Amino acid sequence: MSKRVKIVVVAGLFFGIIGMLVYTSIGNAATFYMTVDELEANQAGAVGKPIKVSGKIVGESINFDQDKILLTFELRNKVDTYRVPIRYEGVKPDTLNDGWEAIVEGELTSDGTLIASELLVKCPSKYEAMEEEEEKMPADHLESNKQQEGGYE
Amino acid sequence: MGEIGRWSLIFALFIVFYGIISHFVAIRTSSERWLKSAKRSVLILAGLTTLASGSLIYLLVTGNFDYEYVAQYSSSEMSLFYKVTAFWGGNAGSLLLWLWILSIYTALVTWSNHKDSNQYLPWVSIFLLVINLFFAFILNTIEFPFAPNPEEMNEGNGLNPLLQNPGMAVHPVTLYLGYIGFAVPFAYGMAALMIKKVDSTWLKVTRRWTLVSWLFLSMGIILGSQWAYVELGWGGYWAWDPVENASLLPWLTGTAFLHSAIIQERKGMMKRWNISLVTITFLLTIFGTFLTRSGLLWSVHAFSNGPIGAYFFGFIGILVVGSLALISSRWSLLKAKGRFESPVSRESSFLVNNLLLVVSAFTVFLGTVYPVLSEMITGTKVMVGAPYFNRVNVPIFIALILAMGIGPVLAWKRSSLKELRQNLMIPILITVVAASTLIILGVRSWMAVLANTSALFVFMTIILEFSKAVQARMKATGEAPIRSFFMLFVKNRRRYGGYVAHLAVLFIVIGLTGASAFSLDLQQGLNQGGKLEVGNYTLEYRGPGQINTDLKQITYAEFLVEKDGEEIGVIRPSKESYTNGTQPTTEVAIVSSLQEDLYVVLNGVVEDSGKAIIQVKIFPLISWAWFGGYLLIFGSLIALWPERSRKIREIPRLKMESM
Repeated sequence: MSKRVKIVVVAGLFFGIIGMLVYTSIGNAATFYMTVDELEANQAGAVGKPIKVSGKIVGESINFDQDKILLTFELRNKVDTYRVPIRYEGVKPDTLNDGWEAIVEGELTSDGTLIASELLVKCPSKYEAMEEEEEKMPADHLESNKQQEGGYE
Repeated sequence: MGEIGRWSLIFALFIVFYGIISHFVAIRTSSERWLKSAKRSVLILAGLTTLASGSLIYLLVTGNFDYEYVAQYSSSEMSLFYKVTAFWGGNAGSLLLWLWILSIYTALVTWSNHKDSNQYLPWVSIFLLVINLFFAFILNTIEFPFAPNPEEMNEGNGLNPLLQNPGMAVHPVTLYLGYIGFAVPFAYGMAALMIKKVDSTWLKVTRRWTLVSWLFLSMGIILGSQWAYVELGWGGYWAWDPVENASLLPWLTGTAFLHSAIIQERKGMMKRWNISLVTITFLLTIFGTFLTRSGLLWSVHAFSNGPIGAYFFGFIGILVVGSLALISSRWSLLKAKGRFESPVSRESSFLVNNLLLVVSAFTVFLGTVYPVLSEMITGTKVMVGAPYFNRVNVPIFIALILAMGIGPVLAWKRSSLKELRQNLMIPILITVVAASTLIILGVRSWMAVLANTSALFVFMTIILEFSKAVQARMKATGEAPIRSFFMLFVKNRRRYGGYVAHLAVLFIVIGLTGASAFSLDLQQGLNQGGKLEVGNYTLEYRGPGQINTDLKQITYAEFLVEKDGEEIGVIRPSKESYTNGTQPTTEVAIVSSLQEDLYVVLNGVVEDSGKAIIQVKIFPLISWAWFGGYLLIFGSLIALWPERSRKIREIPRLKMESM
């Protein structure tokens, strides 16, 4: 084998392995990100897959079982025509308020309940009025257990 | 004061323009007077940005809430320290900090002196000024640090409590010093292409800039993850979120560049690679700023944070096209002088190291922008989480560690496998024994076994390198062992400082492997008097408590901690809520030791019963990783320390001061 062929073979092998690694891992670690509306449109397709759903918290649906440490509530779309029930084994965050935006990560069961593994509530703290107007919040207002705040970076 | 700041920024924009044009004229006409004027303009620029930054700090410290930025990030009850750090608490201030540091760097470079500096510097300054121009432009058009407050306010909102932590206050500055520093080698690389001098001069001149920037970037990453671990309360140090990745990306390519630059300096090879690598690294620093500043990846809709994202995107586009055009027009000039003679040589080990680092950076980049990519291609936003990054990068990192062990043992030009075998026989044997022991002991995680044993392998090769060098020195000079060990660092700082940094990486690897592969994690509710056993620890819940101050309300739960049946103390993990309505924070209780950290998070106290819900984690060996982080800094400092030999005259005085 000439030197050139050797190099090509080794490089091909190397990039092949990396490519395979990326390909298989992306498939396994992918999480679909959707709004409540998008979930309504594609309910059946989302069952059993890891998903992240963003929507508004329905205040009256919040129920926290202190003994089992089990939190259940619902997420709605903007106009409140569709709701997704959420089940979360964990503590109720202090920021879980009616109308606030939450992002829930988990898996959708066939009966339409989202079993959450992670729960983030976007925190409309100081510029509430301003943000309500624009119907959106700066990205650095995301309160979460897992993501650091923006701002300082 | 605010008016002074505002006008300084406006003048800064003009002076940047003038600086670029006058440098051009100076190059075209070779006029000394123009050059002088151009160089002065750079000083004026640094003065103006200093003035602007000074006035913003003044406003923040004096609590002038007539300014929106001050009202948003400062408050009268914050300590002086945090009032000052509120400077970079938000977008406009962070960008001003960028410009400030960059303009100072630009001035330092413009007024430095080195071999052929009169040819290089005008172009270097132009490239740096173009970057200054972008930030000055943004600060005058979309992000105004000195915007007046539309409302009347007597009190500001104050800095986010999560950011009121010493480490976190310093973290952004270190990161920025690192990010921005890479602009200098980039500008030199581009200048070298402009004047068609593509030998290794630009690398030698910028060696220190590169290393200092890399050091700051490393410090930023270390401080950031420590902050996440102590302050965020989710029990982690690295979550692969976009902001973290943004700092890791230039670090990876920067690390590659640090190594490949050596090849060009010594062998005149890899010129194309180096110029591309420095360009990519610089682009990634801008991309990182863009990611953290635009909120592109968090928001449901791209660019929801106003036009700043689009501006950054445009700037990155211009940089990519411009530098690609320049590099390709000089492509034939960049032909390597030497050739790779053997696959088993120091050169090729550097090549392998570079390939792995760049591939790793690419996979991290891919994962980071995947949500955007997938939305563009398929219409649905798909995110990839930590499992992707770990599965892809852990094997790459293990390969890198192995390369780190083998590379330094290989001779330049041509080494033989036989020689390699002889040199590494003992380490390999011990490694194999250690690996089998781990497996027999019941360690079932392949990656953990591989990571730990390869770290052990590299550790032995480094020790061997040192002992060989010490013996050789003792023979040659007749010095005592300790003295000759010390003299190694004096005589060849870069090399042995580098080895210390390698050693540090091993500690980090062992720490992170321990903390990720062997951690324990459980969440439980405990009634008063209840006990919880985790690993070697027993936690006894003594009850909840509350402390109220004017500023905040602290709810804590008190636990008596026993380790192996012996009392070691009381911990109070707590939650703090703030009277000004900002989000509550979690104060983690950590019992740290050499073997492991006991990490207790209070998730909440049930109001009626006083039942505490806690999350308890055990991270074995995590303190090794922090130690490794500090050792890494120490190693880089050794490599950076100016040498007392003749070399000192080559390094411009002005630049030395900046180090």
